[in-house]
Amino acid sequence: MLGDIWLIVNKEVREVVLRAGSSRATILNLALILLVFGVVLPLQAGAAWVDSWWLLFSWTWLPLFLVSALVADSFAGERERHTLETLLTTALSDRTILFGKIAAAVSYGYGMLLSVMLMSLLTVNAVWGVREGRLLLFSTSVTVGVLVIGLLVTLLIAAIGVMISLKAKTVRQAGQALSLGILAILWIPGLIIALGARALSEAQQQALWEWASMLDGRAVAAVSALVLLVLDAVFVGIAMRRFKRSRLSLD
Amino acid sequence: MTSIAISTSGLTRDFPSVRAVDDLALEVPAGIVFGFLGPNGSGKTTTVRILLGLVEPSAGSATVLGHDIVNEADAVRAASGALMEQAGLYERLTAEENLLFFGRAAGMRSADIAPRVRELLGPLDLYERRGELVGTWSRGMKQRLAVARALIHRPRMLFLDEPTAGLDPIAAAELRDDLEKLVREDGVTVFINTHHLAEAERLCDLVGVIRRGRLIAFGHPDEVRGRVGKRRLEVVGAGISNELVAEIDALSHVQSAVLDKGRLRADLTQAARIPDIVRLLVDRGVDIEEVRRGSESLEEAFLALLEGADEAGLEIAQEDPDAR
Repeated sequence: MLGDIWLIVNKEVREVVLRAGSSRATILNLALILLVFGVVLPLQAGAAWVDSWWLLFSWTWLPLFLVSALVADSFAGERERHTLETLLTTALSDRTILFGKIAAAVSYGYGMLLSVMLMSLLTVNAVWGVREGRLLLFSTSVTVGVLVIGLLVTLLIAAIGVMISLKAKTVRQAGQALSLGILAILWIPGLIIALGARALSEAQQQALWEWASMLDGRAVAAVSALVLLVLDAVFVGIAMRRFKRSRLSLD
Repeated sequence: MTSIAISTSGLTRDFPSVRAVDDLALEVPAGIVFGFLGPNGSGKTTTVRILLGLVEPSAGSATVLGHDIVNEADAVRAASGALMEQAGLYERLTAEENLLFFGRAAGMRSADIAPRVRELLGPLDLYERRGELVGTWSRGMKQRLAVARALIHRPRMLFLDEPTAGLDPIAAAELRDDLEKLVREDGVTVFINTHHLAEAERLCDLVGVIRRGRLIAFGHPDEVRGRVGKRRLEVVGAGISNELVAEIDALSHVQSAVLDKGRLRADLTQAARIPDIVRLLVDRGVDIEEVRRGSESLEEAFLALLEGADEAGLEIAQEDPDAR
């Protein structure tokens, strides 16, 4: 089964990422991501980049934007390009096809996250590491936190995206629905916090801020990872239930 | 004893507004080319989808190569190749990458796929172009590649849904040649959906005619033609008079007889004996130069069958207005 999943991953990355446009445009897109997140942002942050828990924590959302195009295309693209029915006539099992599509998005998103991390480390060392005469490295807890949470966030968006793409008639429709979903994930918690904070008195806000600043970063990361793990399980489960060959073939 | 590749019994599929397949009972022997004929919307594609386990039947059962289509759908797909209404090729991949993907998806080892690609694409004159993106190819080339794709894993069963639809006559004829070559070489059982009667007549050992989900005829193309088709007799000679034509027309197994530019043309029933008619003409003093025997084309028989089915359907509807 793993070999078959890898087969789908390989096909998806080739078809949707590497050959979606001209090779020059593809290289330019990938280079731009590496430049912005791996060079420009670390240069702005300075040597503190490798020690900043919150800065790196916020990075874990990067795959959210990277994989959305790939997952929106996963089934809606096959439907639009009239290849879905042929894929369904193969001997590949339902789970292999579904997991292959999810794994393709995770491989690309997570791969880019790792590349960006590595690039930022090179940038920071090339500028400040040389100046300080030492090798600057991410702390173990930050590295583990980013790697684990980054993977779980990528898996979450991949599962949600594939689920939306299963139902969508076109890639555009899937992309729009997914964009709204991402906005909701990002903005709704922020909106709730902002509205909740307004309802509190200044003293209460101050107390809350003090409590928040005393929180252990590792504990916050662990709780976040746990919540994400549960959400991943829920959405992958829903996607598995929704994937029905008979339903897809009739769409 | 001939083994059976496809067997269906009472196979039915209902959609909210229509019964697409209605109580279908078929037995297709292994190793033959079976043509499933019917107009658009008659239930041909739904039948193939059911047989491949892509759509569940509402009632009835079926086996493909001995595998139950509901409980062993994976085994059916593993043993089958399919070319559905669309070529279903990845246009951003090369021809070789497409075949590699579908070969691996069918469980082939990469090392076995390369020689198979040469074996399939060579006779189709596509081997030298295997490194090109499929999206740059003509529709005819894509359709030929799609046939190769369906055969990549040497399936024992091949489903083809309107394989020549949308092709120009030359590309369609080429594809038919290629199909015949590949299919006969590999010895697979072929289930081909078509409304192209000449195609069916040329390729198929057995045909079934479907109308509004119901099988209305089944058998060898000649048999199906003979069941509804008329036999024809044409006699060229001197001395054929109107009186003689009227005498022939009155014979019990002659449906009609006319005199056309000095030639006798007669439509006969299956029971008519041509030597008896020729003997009668000779006895009446006709100097016969040529006797031609003919029959209706499969296309004419097909249209007659559909017309007959429509009339029967009308009668049913009149008997029971709530039947539909």
